[in-house]
Amino acid sequence: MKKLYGSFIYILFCILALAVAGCSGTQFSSGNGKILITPDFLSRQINYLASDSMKGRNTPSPQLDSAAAYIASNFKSWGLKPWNGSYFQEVPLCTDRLGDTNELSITRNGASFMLTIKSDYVPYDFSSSASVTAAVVFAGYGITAPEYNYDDYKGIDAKGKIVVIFRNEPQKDDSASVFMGREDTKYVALKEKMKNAIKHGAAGMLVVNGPMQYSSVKARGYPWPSLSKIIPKDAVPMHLFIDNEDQIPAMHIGEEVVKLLFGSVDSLQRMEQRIEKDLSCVSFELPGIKVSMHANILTDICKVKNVLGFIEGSDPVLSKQLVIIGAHYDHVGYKKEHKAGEDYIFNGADDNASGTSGVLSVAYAFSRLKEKPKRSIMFILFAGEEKGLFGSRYYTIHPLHPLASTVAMLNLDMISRNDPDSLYLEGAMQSPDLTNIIRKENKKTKFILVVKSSEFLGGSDHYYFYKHNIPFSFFFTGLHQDYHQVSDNPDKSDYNKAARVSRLVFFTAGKISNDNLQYTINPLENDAPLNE
Amino acid sequence: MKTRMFIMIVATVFAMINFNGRAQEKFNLSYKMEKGKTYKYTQDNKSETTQEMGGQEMKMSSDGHTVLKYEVEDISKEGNIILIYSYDEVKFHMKGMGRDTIMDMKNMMGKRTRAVISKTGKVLKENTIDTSKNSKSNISLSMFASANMPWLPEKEVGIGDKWPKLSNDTTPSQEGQMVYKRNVEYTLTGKDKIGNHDCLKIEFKGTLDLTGKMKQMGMDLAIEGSGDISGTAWFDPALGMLIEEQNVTAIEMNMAVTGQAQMTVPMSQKISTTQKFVE
Repeated sequence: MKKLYGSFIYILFCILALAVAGCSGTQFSSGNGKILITPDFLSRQINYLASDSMKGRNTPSPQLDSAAAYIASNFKSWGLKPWNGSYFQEVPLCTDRLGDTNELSITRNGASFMLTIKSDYVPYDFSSSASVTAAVVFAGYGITAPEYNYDDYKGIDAKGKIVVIFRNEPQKDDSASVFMGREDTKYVALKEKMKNAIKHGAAGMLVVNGPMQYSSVKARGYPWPSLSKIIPKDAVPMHLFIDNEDQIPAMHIGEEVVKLLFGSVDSLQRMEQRIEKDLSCVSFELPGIKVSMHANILTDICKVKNVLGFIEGSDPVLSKQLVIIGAHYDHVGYKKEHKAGEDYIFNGADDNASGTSGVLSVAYAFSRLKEKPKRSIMFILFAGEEKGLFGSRYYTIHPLHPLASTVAMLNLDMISRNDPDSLYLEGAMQSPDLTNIIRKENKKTKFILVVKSSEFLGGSDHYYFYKHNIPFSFFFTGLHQDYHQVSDNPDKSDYNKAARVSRLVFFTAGKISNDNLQYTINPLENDAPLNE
Repeated sequence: MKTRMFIMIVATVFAMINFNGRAQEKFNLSYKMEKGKTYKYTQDNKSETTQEMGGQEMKMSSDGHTVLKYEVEDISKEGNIILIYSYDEVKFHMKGMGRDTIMDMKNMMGKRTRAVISKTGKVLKENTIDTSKNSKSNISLSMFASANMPWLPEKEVGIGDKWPKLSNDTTPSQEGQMVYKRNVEYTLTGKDKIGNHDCLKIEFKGTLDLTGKMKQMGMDLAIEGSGDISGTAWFDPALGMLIEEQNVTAIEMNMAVTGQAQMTVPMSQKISTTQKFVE
């Protein structure tokens, strides 16, 4: 009886509080956060999203689609607007397979040599699927670095030709080298080398291990399952499908190809030694040689969904500016091989049913404000975070609202574990203004803020927003022993804590969305660790 | 002019006699570990690993120091050595991908494995006695490429003689197993003095193929690779012990991860190891 009476008083209190919130005029009411963002709300959402029926919300999976539909239906029922008529942004993902028709042949002084895949050459996963027959130029490491006064393309015409380049970069063992000795510069990445080759008009790229740097001049390329006895087909990772990416056929070549092109591995090593000595440009066109490359990479495309709900700002000018509140709703699925009775589902209650539920609770609280915020707010639940931040990366490549007028991104990932009073904030050094706002708003939630600067900078969906110079903050309650284990179950989530974190996000977003200020963003180079 | 010609002829004949004399010197090599005795080796290794993900090269380097102890339990009628080996020290320093970590792997120290080794160095049997907290099996002798104990020839050999090592070792590893296939050729190249030991110098060169499957953090790992092994061992025939060995193993590997994450990671690894007899 007492309990019923207590509930009645509580409901009456809620009604009164809602009425007060509704009468709050143009002022943002933090009261909504306290009343609507409750442990019970978070518990319901986490228990639904992290239930066994969701099978760990893998990307892609029917269960991920179910979770997306669930989130969208909530947005709709709370009156959040879709964007261009849809609550979804489709994210195309793909997996590559090696086709059956790859070829590499060399014509030298009229004689033709057909090479063998795996032992002599292996196509790269980032190769285009295309054919080219062309003359060949040797272009050192394939690097053009004006700041180091180094250019492997100096004095050669690579236009329409196939370039042969070394892996890595020169002078790796020289700490005094402009190439930073043992540390890598950006030029070490093969994709950078491909971009540079394309910039110089190259039609194909052959990569070789320098005999000085690598003990073996074997073709390695990419570990395609079809070339291996042991690598399973499902080991090939998915990646974002980017249809307008500049690519050319690219293969890694081994010793036999080197002998046909340069006469011997020793000849190649001599060129490497000359570059190593004083960064000389030793590039040249190989006379009397033509190479035919046919790279056959097959791509299987699938689509997953970012889910979004929109609250349009009330101010005619400031409503053109956007605040993003996001979290990823995917997790890592389930074990395909498991024993009977074994817990085999990675439910991902903390990672990241908790962050998803947090965003839902904040969206719900905003949807109940009578007076809408001045700036617009987009709530986005990203897919494919666990597989490589795919959803958030795709959004920043194809933003629904210009990134230039996106003023802040608040990311919630794993917000329901560890000490009840501690909360990690990533991005303090990068986004000091946002951090100051959070500190002030935290007077209401009273967390002990552990300010991180870059430990998890690339670890969640804020990363690509940061790369686009959007001020961000990452709300996170820390790693734990159930992280990415089947034991990350709802019963281990601290719903009180998740609700408190969500309230802090709500208060912060309330402040930002009613502001007219632009916030500082510091690039990564100026970063330095800071702990409180 | 004549005198000079004479000196040259004498020198050539002397050299030939000396060479033939040396060629005729034969050695019957075997390990002569004694029951009840303890032998220790230090092993220092340096490795450079380059792995590639999404067209991005990532480098890691490590150096390790271990002290390996052999306690000889018994010698069988056939001359096989029954011993218990364990590590007195295991230290690793890893650097790469923005991290610099020193690991004093105390959980691996003192964990014993019983092994039966033939008098020519073949690992005939291994049984784990103590397991460490994170692993059901200890570091296996046969895991190391040509390290620890080089195979000795079954027959008498002289300077310049060669003998093969064709081995196929399967070792347990994290709920799976690794298979190492080695095809190594040893050559007795001469004599050398290492400290107080009159040693035979044995050079070796060969190939290594490895395949394996294991589980790590709930994920399935598959590894395959091939590479080259080369090195020099100094063996004291009178003591019947390896005194020093230096070897380099360079492997091109592919690692595949399935389960909650999908990954294929090509890796190049070069490991240089020096092993020295302590006592």
